[in-house]
Amino acid sequence: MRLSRKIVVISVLCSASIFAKADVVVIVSASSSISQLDGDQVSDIYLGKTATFPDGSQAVPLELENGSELRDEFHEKVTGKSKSQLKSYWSKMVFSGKGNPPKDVADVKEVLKLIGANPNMIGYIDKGSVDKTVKTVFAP
Amino acid sequence: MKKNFFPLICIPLLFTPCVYAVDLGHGFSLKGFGTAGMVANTDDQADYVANHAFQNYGAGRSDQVTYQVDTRFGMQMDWQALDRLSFTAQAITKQYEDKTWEPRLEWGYAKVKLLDNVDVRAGQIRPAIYMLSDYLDINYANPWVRPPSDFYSAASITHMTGIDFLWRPKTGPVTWLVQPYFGESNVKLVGGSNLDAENIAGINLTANYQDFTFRFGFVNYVLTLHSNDFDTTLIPALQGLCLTIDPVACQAISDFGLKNAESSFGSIGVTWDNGDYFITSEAGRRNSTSRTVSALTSWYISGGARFNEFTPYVTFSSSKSEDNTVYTSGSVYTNQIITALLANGGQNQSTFTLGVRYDFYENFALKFQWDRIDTQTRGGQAGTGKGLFINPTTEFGNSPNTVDLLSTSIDFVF
Repeated sequence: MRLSRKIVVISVLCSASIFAKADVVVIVSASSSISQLDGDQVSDIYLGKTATFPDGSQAVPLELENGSELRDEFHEKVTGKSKSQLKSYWSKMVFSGKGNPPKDVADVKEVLKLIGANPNMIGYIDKGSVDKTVKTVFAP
Repeated sequence: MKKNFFPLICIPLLFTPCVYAVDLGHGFSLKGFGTAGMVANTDDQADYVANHAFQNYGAGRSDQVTYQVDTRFGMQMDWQALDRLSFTAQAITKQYEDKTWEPRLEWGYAKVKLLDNVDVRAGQIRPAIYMLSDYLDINYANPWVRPPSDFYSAASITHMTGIDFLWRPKTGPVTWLVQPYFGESNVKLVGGSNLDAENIAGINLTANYQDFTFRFGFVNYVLTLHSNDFDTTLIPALQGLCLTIDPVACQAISDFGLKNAESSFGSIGVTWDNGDYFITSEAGRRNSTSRTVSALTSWYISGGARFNEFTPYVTFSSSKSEDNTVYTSGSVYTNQIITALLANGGQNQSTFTLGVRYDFYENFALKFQWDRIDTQTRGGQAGTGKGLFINPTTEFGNSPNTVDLLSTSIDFVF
């Protein structure tokens, strides 16, 4: 009995570590007029290919700091770029004056605080952290 | 001994923490990039250089192994003065045409955000002649040790004083970059000559759709060469012939003189990159009303795969002059002079490249590359076989050659 329970626990832990990725969702302020975006639109905003939302209003993306698992998951699913590809990409943009990478934010709490107060901002957090100051516009 | 100074300033950088840009407060930030590279050439009959117009010391005849071809270091200071106004200055040290390593200002411009998707830049900027023009010096941004020389040697306007617009409209699923640019430039070349490019007017048009990027570029400019050999030897010699025995020499002066010569470079490019695999290719065509700037067709195709930190790649590139090789319309003296000039414009070669990029640490990439370069003569004509090599022996210039290069480099950004 105890052994089988242990096995269950271990297998749960194992599968948990394989699927440890929290579900990342893309959010904007609850007061934003944007209700939905698709993956390409979010990707374009995060890669600096566009500076606006589809309705023409200014879009300011927020990035979680390097090393965050959520950040890696977001880029894997949305921009399709690995860490080193992102670095290469931004070195092209930065040193040619074509753009700067999104502003880095320390953690999800900070993302919520900034986005809740600014309808032009866009960010990503784990699904479980969504509160009433923000709304989900894309779930990859 | 300035060149020996370089590795010293490089070392502290290797230990800087991995932050992207150093925030200096008040809107100022400092960024940098560089490459420490070594090239070995198996052939000692000529020098391999990354660009024959700007380097006159390379791997091969001067030195079998040299760091001078790819090594460089650049710093960029950005100042976000206002919400919509920023200033950028970028200085680079590398082997310049006068063999010094004194840092030069490569970019220095003010940028104004006119609209959310329209920027305008004015000052010293780099005309977007090629797909990779904007980051030709930033090897970290590219998979290879260096961008394919056969293609990236064709139009040598590295900077200009002028203005460009960056307009990024979106139509359905396609993101565009429409970048017209205007300016003028004076470019210093090896051997103490320099090239004036006036009335530079160009367009860089890029469309991005899913994993595809399509590019079209065209630039027109008016070239005037200031060269001692040209101005004090070649042209006066032709003028002498023109006034005495050979009326064809008069025509040759206007055909081959490089004064206010309308010139252009047009190119197309396509890239497919799905993250795991990429293929990228460009083809370009150079034209000029002066036959000293030989009509040239150049292209490359490169593909690679990304396996975690490793990116193996393979490239084929080619450069081919389209001009005649022998001049026979004039007197024997005129023919000699012009034939020698035509031989000098021979830049026929192709390159097969195999390499791997290893992203071994954040902000650093280590690369190994093997190039096999085949130079061709034009119709067996003596002196036309040197390809894009410099300082060739007479023998090297008179025949086709096969040269193997081995390169390794460490690229970094911060």
